[in-house]
Amino acid sequence: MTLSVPAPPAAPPTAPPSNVVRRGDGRAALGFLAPSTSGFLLFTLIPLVGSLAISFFAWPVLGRRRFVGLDNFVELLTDPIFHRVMLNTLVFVVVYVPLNIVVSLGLALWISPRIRGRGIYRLLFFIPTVTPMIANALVWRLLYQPGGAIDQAFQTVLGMPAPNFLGDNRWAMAAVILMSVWQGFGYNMLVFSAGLDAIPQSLHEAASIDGAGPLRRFWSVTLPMLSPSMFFAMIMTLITSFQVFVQPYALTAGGPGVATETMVLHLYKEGFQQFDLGTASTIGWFLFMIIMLVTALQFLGQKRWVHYDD
Amino acid sequence: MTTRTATPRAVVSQVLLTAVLLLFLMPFVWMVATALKPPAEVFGVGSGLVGSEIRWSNFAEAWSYLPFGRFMFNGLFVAVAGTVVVCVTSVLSAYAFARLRFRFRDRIFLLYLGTLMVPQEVTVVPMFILMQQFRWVDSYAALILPWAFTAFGTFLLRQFFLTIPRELEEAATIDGASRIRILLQVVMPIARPAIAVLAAFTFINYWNSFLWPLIVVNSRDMSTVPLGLNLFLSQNGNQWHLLMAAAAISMLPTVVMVVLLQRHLVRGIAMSGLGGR
Amino acid sequence: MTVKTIRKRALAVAAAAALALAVAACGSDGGGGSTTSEGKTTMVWNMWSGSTAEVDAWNHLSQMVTAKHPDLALDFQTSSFNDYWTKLAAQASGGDAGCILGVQSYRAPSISQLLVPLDDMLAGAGINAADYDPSIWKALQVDGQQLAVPYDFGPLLMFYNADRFREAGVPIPTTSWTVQDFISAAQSLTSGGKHGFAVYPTIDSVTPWSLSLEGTGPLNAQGELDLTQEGFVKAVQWYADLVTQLKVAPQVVATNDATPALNSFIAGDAAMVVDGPWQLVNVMDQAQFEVGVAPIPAGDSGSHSQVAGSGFGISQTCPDPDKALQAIAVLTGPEALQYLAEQGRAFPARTAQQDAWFSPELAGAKDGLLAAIKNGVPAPATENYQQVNQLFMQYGVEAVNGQQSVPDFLNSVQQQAG
Repeated sequence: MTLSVPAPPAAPPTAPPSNVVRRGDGRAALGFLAPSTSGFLLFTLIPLVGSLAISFFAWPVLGRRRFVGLDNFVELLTDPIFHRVMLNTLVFVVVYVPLNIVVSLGLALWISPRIRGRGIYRLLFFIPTVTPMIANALVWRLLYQPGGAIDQAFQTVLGMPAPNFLGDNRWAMAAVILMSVWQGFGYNMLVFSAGLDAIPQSLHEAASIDGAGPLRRFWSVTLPMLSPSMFFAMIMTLITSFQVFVQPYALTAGGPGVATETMVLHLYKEGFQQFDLGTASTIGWFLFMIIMLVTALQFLGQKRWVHYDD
Repeated sequence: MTTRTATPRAVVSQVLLTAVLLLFLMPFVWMVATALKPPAEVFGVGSGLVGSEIRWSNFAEAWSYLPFGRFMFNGLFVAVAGTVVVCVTSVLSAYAFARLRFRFRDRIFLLYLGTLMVPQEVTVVPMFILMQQFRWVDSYAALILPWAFTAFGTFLLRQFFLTIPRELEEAATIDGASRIRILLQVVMPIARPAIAVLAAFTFINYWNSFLWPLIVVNSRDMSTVPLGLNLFLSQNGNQWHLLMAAAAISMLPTVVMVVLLQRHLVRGIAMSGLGGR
Repeated sequence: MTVKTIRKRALAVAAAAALALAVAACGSDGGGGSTTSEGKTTMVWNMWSGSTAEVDAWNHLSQMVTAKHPDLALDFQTSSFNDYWTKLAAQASGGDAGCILGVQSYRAPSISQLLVPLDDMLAGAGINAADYDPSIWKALQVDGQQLAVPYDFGPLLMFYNADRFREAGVPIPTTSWTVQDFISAAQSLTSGGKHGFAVYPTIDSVTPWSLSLEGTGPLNAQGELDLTQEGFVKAVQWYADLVTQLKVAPQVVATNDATPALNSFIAGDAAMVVDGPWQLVNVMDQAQFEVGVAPIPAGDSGSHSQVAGSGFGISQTCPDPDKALQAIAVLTGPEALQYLAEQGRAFPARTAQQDAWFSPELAGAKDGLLAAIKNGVPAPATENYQQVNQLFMQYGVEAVNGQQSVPDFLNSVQQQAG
């Protein structure tokens, strides 16, 4: 089995070549597809279309719903709090994604074959990604709290109290991002590790013979060879980071004020604490559109830096 | 592979990496340390890593302070049932997309692919309304079914099935085996690693899921483990020492699974590009 | 497929989906929360709770109901206090609300449309208003209609760490202490990383100070929310100054739960905190020092606190409200309240049972609590109290930590919630 390099996303769904001519498998296909497709229709397609429909309604949980056209969209676009929420989300993404990539790539490089027991290192760095995020976030809340571990370390080492990470609007977002990087880089680290291991040693050796130093080898051999995995990792990380919810929910509840309120947290509050389902659905569509846009831009930009083998 | 002679640089590198790892693991260390402290020593000046006594009884107390056994059962039941549904439906549909020939096959598959990018948050509102109509709010069905039919499993397994040589199946066809028998007896044994990866990640996702249970669960008795953890922060004063004990327990199932399956998982992540987060 | 036909089809699919949702949304019917089989009725009872010990106490009460009415059983369903309020409306809209609902006085107006007015039914169930403390009985009325029968109540109180007071040689608070006494005690008790007091910016915990210092709460004379009225702004400023100017209370963090101040008291870091009598049994259980209780210190307007409490009401969707009220009569009856009081769980809304609460462990709280009750005022409540409460907490953090001015903070909450 050769499974070393990540598959390119969304392989074009062309019909696999077939030497044997058979009649169509329509009836069998119906049987094979029925369980999956009926669930897919009910729980993916209908809700997807439904969420767009709901965003055109004033849809309180209790009471009458009525069609309001684009009012929900207009209200959100003119709401200074929602502007702040979008800005927060953007700040999170713009800081978190590069940090995640740098840390995961750095560690993937560091845990090279020269490190003894590298499997154990990889495993341990990977652990927070599979433990419940709410548990991780609550541990960090304990660390960040005044009088908590970080504060005590500050007092002992520097003789002064740490900033009030979760109560100070200058620090709260940084605290959320730091915790998120700690919790989230493990996946990309493994992807990069696998990608690095798949680079033929001969390429490095050839570059060495040509007189390339380690930095030069990194730029002209490692990075280009790794660029397909990096591209895919970056897209996935971007998409998931736009959906950040648990970290601000558990660490700061979006506060102080709205300093760490992100789009999904805002969606949750509007929809399931204020019970304005129409607005919540609209926020969901904003999120969707932004993600589509950013993903499309990534795909457009990939030609400039992603090198596929063939 | 380079030879493993320990050059001084390699030793320094290893030592530094270990230091980074220890710093990285501090939150877990602090979690366990807090779980063993008396409640009054969780915060505050001079409350070090180790309290005035090591209270193993905190773990037992956390288990009974809230019905944590119930939360564990709910979490395991939902995760296992969800994983089974995901694997069965994904195997069937992935096989159909990979091997069967029928009208609109490529269009339907394209539709599946198209929804891979849709974030869960976009559909939670209609999904919640749907659950109300089905009278499923606060039920296992609501925790399991809505997210059991996403396109991801189909996509992942189809990619894998396409790498299996057709000749294997054709031999069986000539022997007169039915489609379903070919799938079960020829394809499945080869695809076992891929299915294991799908199962592991599906389990982890269900186990850790927070937003949807937060929305659809109303009563304490239906809470999964992540919701249960949140309950330790109640209006009666936060039970941090119990919360940390419970958090440590909550991490066990997925950690054990990852340790047992680590080889498969690493390969599976590389294969599927399950990166991100 | 051309672009045009794709668009047409997409529109058709969208229309069909919207229609399906709308049709489905109309099709829901009520009538949940109660099932009857073989002459035995089982009713769902929704109530908040914090711990297994608390749930056990409520289940004990539900057994009392079945003992008295063998044809009636309660199915106790519970969630945390915060979740309870956010879930109730959703449950009601899905027809999933229970028959018997826990109702807190502050939040009664916000769920009044879910509840059955009880006035005409009370006598039939043998419930007599005169047996209950009048302030909490009244607090569970909305627009003159009785929506719930109370089981507990209480004013907010000052809890203090008696050990810290003694060690520092600071006089122990009395029932007639003043705000000046409070400040000087807080200042003497603030040293070496420990603080004299702990605050959290909840509207509930600011209100007693506002009542005592300025003689006004967060509502205006018409009963509308008016956070920007002069007296209230001054009181919140005073409250924030405890952190930013006097530094007798630690900075606060932004969080979901309203208990950081109480936690810091329990941990021994803050020597005083304001909270309700319903917390006392938990606090005494966890604190490793002697806990004392005093009324809010007297300011220019005296010593006042709002009186809040909780009771049980009947949901509109309950098919058999008369039976539900029979159950409530037991749940708020003398035996049940005696039992809760002996456990220290709830200070009884029935005057005759109140002494049971002061059983040995809580005896020290008697003078303080009775004094506070005497000067209690009805709790302010508006229809959107839950929302006001959340906004106040969320934005108040910046104000209390000195990162936003108090008037700006109150303006912005008033604008969003008013």
